[in-house]
Amino acid sequence: MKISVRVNDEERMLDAGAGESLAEVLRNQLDLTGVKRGCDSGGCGMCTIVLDGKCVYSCMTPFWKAEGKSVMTVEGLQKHGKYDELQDSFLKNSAPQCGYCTPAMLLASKALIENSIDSSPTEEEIRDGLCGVLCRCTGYTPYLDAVREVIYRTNKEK
Amino acid sequence: MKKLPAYNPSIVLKPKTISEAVKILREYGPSARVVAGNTTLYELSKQGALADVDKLVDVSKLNLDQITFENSLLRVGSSVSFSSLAKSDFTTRNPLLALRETSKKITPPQIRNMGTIGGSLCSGIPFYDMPVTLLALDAKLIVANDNGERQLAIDDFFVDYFITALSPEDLLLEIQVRDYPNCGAAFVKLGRTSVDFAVVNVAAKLMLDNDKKSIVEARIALGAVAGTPIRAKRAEESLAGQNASEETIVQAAQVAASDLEPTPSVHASSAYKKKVIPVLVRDALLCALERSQRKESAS
Repeated sequence: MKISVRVNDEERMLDAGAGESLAEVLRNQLDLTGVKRGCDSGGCGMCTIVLDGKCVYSCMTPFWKAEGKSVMTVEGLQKHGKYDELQDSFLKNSAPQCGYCTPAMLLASKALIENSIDSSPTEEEIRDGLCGVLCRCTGYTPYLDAVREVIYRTNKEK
Repeated sequence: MKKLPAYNPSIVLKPKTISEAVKILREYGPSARVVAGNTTLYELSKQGALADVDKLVDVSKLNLDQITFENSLLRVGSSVSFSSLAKSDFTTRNPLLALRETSKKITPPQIRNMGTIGGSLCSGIPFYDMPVTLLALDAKLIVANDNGERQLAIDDFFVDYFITALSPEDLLLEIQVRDYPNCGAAFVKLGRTSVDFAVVNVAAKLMLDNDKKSIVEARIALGAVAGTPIRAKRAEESLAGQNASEETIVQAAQVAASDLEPTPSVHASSAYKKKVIPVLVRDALLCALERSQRKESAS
């Protein structure tokens, strides 16, 4: 079956079987390999993407559920050759270690920040926002620092 | 390793009306499966449990994602996601607050955004969080099939592990919960980590008299202790008509534990669960009591 979907601000056509996951299709048809298939059963969070502004596990999302929606993967974070402020903050805080979970951490953080435009997320909400992505280097603290930094900076500017 | 039977549905059907959807379900029976958030279905497909499924029925065009509140009745469409329920303006009042609390404790946000209230019920999984709260809140379920609509009490819904009162021809449309005065409810969950399924989860609802001094009715529901979410009926009865005090609540919590032989899981033995149940039941009841005694502005 064929669907049209907006992926990283570009209209794309996807064609796959009814049982195929969005993670598989994004990787195999669009070469978006920032989407990782870690556990492939909704446990590790490596396949996290932003679907219509909300973070979801793309391994658990049937590809046809994205029809008419907007998908963001880590490849879509960079705009006009410039890193997103989260990417800058991740670098500055030396957050990534092996890097395998970094795309998912970025997207979970992006969704957290975009969904809390009016109220700044509390510490509890920040931790909740990132709890769906495992980091087996166990480098959670610098990831949290990097996200907090972006949130505090955004609040100051307001 | 033994190869698992493959999950290979051939087609996705996208009905635009309820009557179209229930006709599809009647025609294809168990070879069709309703897809909402797909979180449980995906996990089951990975376990080789859905090899007989040939047709997926997408319910996203059926307008089942609405939440309304009128005449003290909260109506939640079966496709409402946990994150929508957590954000709804209607779940700030007692005892509906427990629905918001439960939704927020369903982690991580990725699952909260995908998973639905209807899916959590229809999966028939005894350790999920939302069914326990809905059992304590005495929810009513509106179900449709090709013969029409019917209403089910949640007490009659859970049958056994993976088995509910629904047949493959049925479609869960709506979950209804009533808002009562002098009533409070709470949900408490013990998990191994913040993103784990519950080791044991408990929801409690207390209804007090107008003076808010004595308990008129109590409902206590537990998950992850049997083949379905269950009620601690003897503990509930021990509370009815009693003083709304910490002492009576602690006693009732002991009764709840003494009646049970909890099913063990990979994370907790039966003996361990038996130890934590009185603590969790006490916490849920005390929180429900505090909430039921709160002054609330009339809405």
